[in-house]
Amino acid sequence: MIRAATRIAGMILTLVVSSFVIFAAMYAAPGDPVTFLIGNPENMTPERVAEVKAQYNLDQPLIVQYGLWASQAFMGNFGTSFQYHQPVAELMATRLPATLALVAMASVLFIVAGVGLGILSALRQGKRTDSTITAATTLAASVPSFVIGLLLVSIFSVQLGWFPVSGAGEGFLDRLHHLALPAVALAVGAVAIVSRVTRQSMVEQLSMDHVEAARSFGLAPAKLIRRHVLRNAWGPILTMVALVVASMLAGTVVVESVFGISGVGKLLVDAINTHDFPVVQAVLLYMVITYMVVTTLVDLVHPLLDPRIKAKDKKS
Amino acid sequence: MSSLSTSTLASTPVIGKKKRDVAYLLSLGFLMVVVAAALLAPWVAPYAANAVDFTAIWQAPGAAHLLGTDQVGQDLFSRLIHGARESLLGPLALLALATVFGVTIGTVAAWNGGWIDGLLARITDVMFAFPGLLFVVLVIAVFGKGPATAIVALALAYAPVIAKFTRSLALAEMARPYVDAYRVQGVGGFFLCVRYIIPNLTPPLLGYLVVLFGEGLMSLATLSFLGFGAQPPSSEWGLMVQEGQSGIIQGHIWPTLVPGAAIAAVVVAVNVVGVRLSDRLNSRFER
Amino acid sequence: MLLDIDNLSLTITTNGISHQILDKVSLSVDAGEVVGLVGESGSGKSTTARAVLKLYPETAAVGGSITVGGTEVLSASKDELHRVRSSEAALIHQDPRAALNPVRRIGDSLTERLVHVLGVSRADAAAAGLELLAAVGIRQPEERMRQYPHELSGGMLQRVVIAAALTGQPKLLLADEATSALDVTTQAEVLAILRDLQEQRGLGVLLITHDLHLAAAYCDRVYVMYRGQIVEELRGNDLFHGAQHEYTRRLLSAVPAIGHLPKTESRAS
Repeated sequence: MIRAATRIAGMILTLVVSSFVIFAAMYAAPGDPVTFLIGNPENMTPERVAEVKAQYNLDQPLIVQYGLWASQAFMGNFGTSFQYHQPVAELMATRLPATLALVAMASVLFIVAGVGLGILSALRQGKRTDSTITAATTLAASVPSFVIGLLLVSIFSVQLGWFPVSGAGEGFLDRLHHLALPAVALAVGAVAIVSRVTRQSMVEQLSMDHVEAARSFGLAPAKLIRRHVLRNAWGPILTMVALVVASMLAGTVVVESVFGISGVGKLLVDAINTHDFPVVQAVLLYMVITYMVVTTLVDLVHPLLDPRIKAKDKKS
Repeated sequence: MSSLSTSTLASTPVIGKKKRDVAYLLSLGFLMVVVAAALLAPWVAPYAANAVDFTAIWQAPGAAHLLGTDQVGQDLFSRLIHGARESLLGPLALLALATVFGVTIGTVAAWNGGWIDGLLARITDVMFAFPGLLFVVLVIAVFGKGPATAIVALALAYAPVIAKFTRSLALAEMARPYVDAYRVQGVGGFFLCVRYIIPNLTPPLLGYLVVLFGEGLMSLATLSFLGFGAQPPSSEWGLMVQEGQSGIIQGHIWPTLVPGAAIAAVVVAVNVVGVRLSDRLNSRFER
Repeated sequence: MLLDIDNLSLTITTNGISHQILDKVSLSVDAGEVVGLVGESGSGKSTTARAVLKLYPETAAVGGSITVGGTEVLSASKDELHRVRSSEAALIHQDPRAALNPVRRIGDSLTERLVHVLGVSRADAAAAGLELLAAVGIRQPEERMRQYPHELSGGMLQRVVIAAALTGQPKLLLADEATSALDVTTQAEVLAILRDLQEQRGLGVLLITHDLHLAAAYCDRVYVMYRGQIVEELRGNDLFHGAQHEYTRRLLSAVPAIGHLPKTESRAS
C-alpha cells in the first residue's frame, strides 16, 4: 500500500513538472509569447491578440498562468485551436478513435508475433532457428518505421492492391482493412524488443530446477512450458509489453503521417506546422499522461503476478 | 518513433563467434566505404546532388543512373552520396554536443553528489516522462524546424541519458583505491577527474556512443521525414525518403527504397560495430 | 535388480570441444537397498542420476545401458520413458526451494504428477497428497497445501519434495544431495523420515552425496566416483577402513574425523 502511494505520488510530481515544462516552453521561444502564440504575423489583429491574452491569462505572473491553464486542462478544457477555431478537447476526441484503434491492432500483432517468436527462440536455444529469429527481428528493428510503412504501401497497396493507400476507414471491418498495414509498420520494431525479452525470460526459467523436476516426473512438454516456464516468465514480458504499448500511444506520429491517418499524431504534426500551440500543448500533455499512467500501472500490477513480491510488499 | 532504444537489442549472444567476426569486419568495411564516399562526394558522385533532368525522371537503376532517378530526374546514387554528409554529420554533431554536456554533468554528479546529483536525477525523471521523440517535438514546436534545432533538441534529450551512464561508470571508478591514494596526497578533484577518471571511462562510454550514433541517425532521419529536420534542397536521407513518397502511389519505389535501405544498412552496421567495440573495450577495461 | 547401469558413458560437445562426463560407469541398486554414490563436485554423480531418467542435453553422446525395473531407459519408447519417469523412479533435488515452482501453491506442486501426468482427479490427488504430507511428518497439511514455497522453511520444503516424489509410488528414489542444503538438525530429521519411508515401502535409494560420514552411516553399499569413473565399491561400514583406491583415501583424509568436529559440513547457509 505504502509502495503504491509513493509510486503514485512520484508520478503526480513528475506529471506536474513535465506539464509545467510543456506550458512554459512558449516562454523559451524567441520574441514575446503573444507573437509566438499567434505565429503568422498576418494574423496579428487586435481581436486575435485579445483572444490569445484571454486564453492564456498573459497579464498574470507565469505561475498563475500555469495554474489556471492546468486547472482548466484538468477539467478537460484545453482552450481553442487557433487553426480550427474549435475546442482542442473536441478535436482530440474526434482524432483519438483512429489512434487507439491503430495502437490496439499493432499491440495484438506485436504481442502475438513477439511472444511467439520469443518462445520459439527460447525452445530452440542456440540452434539455427534461434539465431535466425534474433537476426531477423534485430534487422527489422533497424529499419525506420516510415521506411517500413512506405515499403508496405508500395507492395501491398500499389502493386498488389490488397489494401487502401491511406485513411483510417469507417466501421469495424473497413477500419481493420485500412489499419492493417499501418499496424504492421508500427508493430515491427516492437517485435524485436518483445521477442528478445520473452526469449531471455524463458531461457532463465528453463534452467530452473523446478523445470527439470517437472520434466523428471514426465510432465508433457506443452504442459511443462505452460505451467513452469511461461507462468514464471510472465513478469518481465508483461512489463515490456505494457511499456511498448505506452510508448506506442505516444508514438503513432510517424506511422499516421505515412498512411495519412487523421489521428492524434497527425494532429500534432499539423499543429506544429501551423503554429497551433494550444493543440501542441494538449496533444503532448495527453501523450505524457498516457505514458506515465500506463507505466505506473504496470509497476503497481507487476507484484500481483508474483506471490513472492506480494509477500514482501505486505511485510514492508 | 521507437522510443525504446535499439541499444537494448544490441547484444546478440546467440550468434557464433566466427559469424560475429565476419559480421563485424563486413560492417566495419561497409561503414568505411560510406564515410569515404561522403568525404569524397564531389569527386565520386557521377552527378551533382541537385542536377535536374526532366528527360530522365523515375528511372529504374541502370547504366546511366546506378540507383535510378527521382521525380525530377535527379540521380539517386549521387544524392545518396552527397546526402551521406549531412546524414552522418548530424548524429555526430548531436552526440558530440550531448557527450560534452552529459560527461561533464555525470562526472560532477558522481564526484560531488549532493544537490547536483539530485538535480540530475530529477531532470532525467522528467525527460523520461516524455516518451520517444516528444521532447524533441516540443523544442521544435517552440524554436521552429530545421536541422540545427533538431540536432540541438536531440542533444538535449540525449545528454541526461549519457550523464546517467557516465555517473554510474564514474561512481564505480571512484571506488577504486588509486583515487583515494591520490586524494590523500592532496591531488585536486578537478585534476583527478580530467586526468584519470574521465580517460578511464572512455572505453565503455565509446561503445555506448557508437550504439547511440545509430539511434541518433534514425531519430534525425525520422525528424527530417516529418519535415522537422533537414530542409530542401538537402539530400539528407530521411528527407529523400519523404520526397520519394509521392512516387509510391504511381509505382515508383526506388526514390524511397534507396535512401531507406541506406539508413537501415548504416544503422545495422553501426550496431554490429558498436556491440563488438564495447565487448572488446570493456574486457580490456576490466583487466 | 531394480536399477542396473552398465558401462554408461556420456560425452558433451560444446563449441567443438568434447568433454567426457561419464566413463564406463556401472552400478546397481536392488529393491530395499540404500546405495551411496560419493565423490567431489564435478565427478559426475548428478549426471549419472539424471541419466537414469534420461535427463541430459539432446546433444550428449551416450553409450552403455541403464535398466530401471526391466526397462532399458536409453532406448525406451516415449511411453516406456514416460512410465519410468512418472511411476518407476523419482528424482529428489538438492535445493527444495529451487525444485518447487515459486509461483505455485504447495498443494499444486505436490499433486502435479498425479493430476497432470497420471490423470488422477483433483480430489483424489489432494487426498493422496494430504496422506503423504502426514507421512513425511508435516502437521496441518491442509493449511500447508494452500501456502506458497516462500512461506515454508527449507526442511519443510524438502519434506514436501519427498512427498511429491512419492506420489507416483516409485520403486526407486534418486536423492541428489537431498539434504545438503539443510542445516544439520533438519538434515537428520529428513534423513530419518527418508529411512522410514524406504523401509516401509521397500524402496531402492540411490543416495548421492559428498558427505562421506553420511554415506558410511546411511548406505548399505557405496560407490566412489572420480572424474566420471567409478573407482571403488565398498560396503557402507567399510568406507573408512577398507578403502583401496588412492583417490578414496585422499577423499577420506580430507574429512575431519568424527568427534573432532561436528559430524557434517553441510553447504547449508
